[in-house]
Amino acid sequence: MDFRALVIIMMSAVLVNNYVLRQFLGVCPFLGVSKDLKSSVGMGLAVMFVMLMAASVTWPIQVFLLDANGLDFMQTVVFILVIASMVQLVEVVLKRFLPALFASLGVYLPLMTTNCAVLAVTISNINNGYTYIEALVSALGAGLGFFIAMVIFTGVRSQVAAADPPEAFKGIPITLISAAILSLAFFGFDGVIENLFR
Amino acid sequence: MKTDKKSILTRGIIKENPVLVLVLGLCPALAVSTQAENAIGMGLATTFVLLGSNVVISLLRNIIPGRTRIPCYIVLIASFTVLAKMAIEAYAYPLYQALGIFLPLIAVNCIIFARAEMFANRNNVLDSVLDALGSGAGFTLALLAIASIREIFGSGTWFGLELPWLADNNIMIFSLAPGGFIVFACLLAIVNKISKDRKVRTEHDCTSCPAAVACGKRNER
Amino acid sequence: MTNDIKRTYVMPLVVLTAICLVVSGALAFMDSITGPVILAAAEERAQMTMADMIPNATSFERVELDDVGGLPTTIREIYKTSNGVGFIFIAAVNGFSGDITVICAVAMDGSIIETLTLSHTETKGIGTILEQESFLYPFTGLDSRLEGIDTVAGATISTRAFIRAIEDIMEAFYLVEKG
Repeated sequence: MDFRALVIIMMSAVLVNNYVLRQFLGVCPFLGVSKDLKSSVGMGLAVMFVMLMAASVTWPIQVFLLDANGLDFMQTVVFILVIASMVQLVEVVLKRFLPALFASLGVYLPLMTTNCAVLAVTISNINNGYTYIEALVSALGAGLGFFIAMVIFTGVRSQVAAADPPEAFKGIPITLISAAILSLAFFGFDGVIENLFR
Repeated sequence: MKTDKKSILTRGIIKENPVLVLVLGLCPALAVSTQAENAIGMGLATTFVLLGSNVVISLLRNIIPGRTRIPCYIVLIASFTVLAKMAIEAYAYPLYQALGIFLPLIAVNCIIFARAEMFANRNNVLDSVLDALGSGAGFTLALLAIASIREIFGSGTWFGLELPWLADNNIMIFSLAPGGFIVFACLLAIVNKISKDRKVRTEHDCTSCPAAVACGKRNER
Repeated sequence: MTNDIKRTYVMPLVVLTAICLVVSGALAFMDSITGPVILAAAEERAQMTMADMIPNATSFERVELDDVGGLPTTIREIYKTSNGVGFIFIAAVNGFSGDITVICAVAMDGSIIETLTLSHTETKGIGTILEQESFLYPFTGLDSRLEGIDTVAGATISTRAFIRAIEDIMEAFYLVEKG
């Protein structure tokens, strides 16, 4: 196993191909749940957790069940169903055995079913031809990238809340403008990683 | 009665435009709106899925039990998405390449969930068809608006046609991710300005999202 | 009581299962229609790309990878021209984020006729060099030693992955040509 390749996959998922800021995946929860630090940390952790679980389950399903039987056209349907039922399962298990964790993540778990970032990570793992380990690393990276973007953006928003934009820009528009600037900042990472791993 | 039907159809286009007024389905709206052509393709594909799922859910509204309706909707919407994906891959390959991962992601577009949960499961087939066409058209037009601005300034073209002067002086940021956020923010601000005296949503969170019934708060019913 | 059980547990399961079965059937049917169309279109696109690369070839025949021993694992497809002008190789290597698929036409004497990037998932702005004429053109005419390419290409993850693909292709060429 090439450790260096894994580090590159991880870093590029977190910084260069950040799901929210570069690929517009998971924008709704990014804008909706980033108002205070507590909820954005909860949401970020929930996304990371579900992405990792989803990737670890869907990869074997694709390889051993769908590809092996020529059923790859069922991919989207099967993946969504798997993610939905997995989220249910995680909810039940957490509630029963880890009530403390459930208290902080519980509200956000049901939202994962229709979170496009989670489905996207499972599909792009397959499209990119990743091995099982690579798939897990890229899912972890995508989740971590989402988490980092959420936390940074919460900080930005607390500053924006104190500002006084033109009437028409109040609310969602000014939030989007802040997201644009944060997204622009993430472009700075392009060259960094490219040259770090020469 | 006739005016009622008309309002179902037009409501989704202007008054309750899913993207510009309800602020739903942002991921595809921002991601594939770098080219006007792709925007139209994405809009039509989404409208197809919306139409299919609305019709079937409306037909089955008395058969699907309340408790398992969400899994049923998920399966139905996902399979219409796959139908659209297969058709596009077979007969419109360039569009298939341009939409990339956002084509299968139509399956988790919250506009479609919202229409299924808010409209199709309590109205007859004809009304559901009109509703789907209205919302689909609203989504397509909003995408076209965003994409036109981004393509004209970002690449200096419109529907692939080169525009004089702009083609040599394109502003790259419009076709990159930040440009998407900025253009969308400005369009929302314009909508806010125009509809100033009407009640407009100024906050975006999951509690005010109509799809929350379908995704987040499904146990509350 | 039994009615209650029926309503709360049996009916939902029956309806959901029925929907899943009908849906799977519909999708399988659609797949049986579009599947061949998709394959045929992909084949046609591949043939056109190859015909562009080696214009004086009469037609291209697929070489079964299993018939050639010891190929590098990156090699995906090999075609040979039926009139013995050269070979076409398609290889996929891991780039910065995901696969870079490279197509390369090699003449019988082992020199590169032309090389192109078929597809890549590199980030916008990083991977674009893989599509640029200034990067691709210097490969033309080189043999397996790839002299001088390092200085032209610079050294980034994407370009080095590309060069690795070409090296594998040249190795495959000697294996195929001998066999």
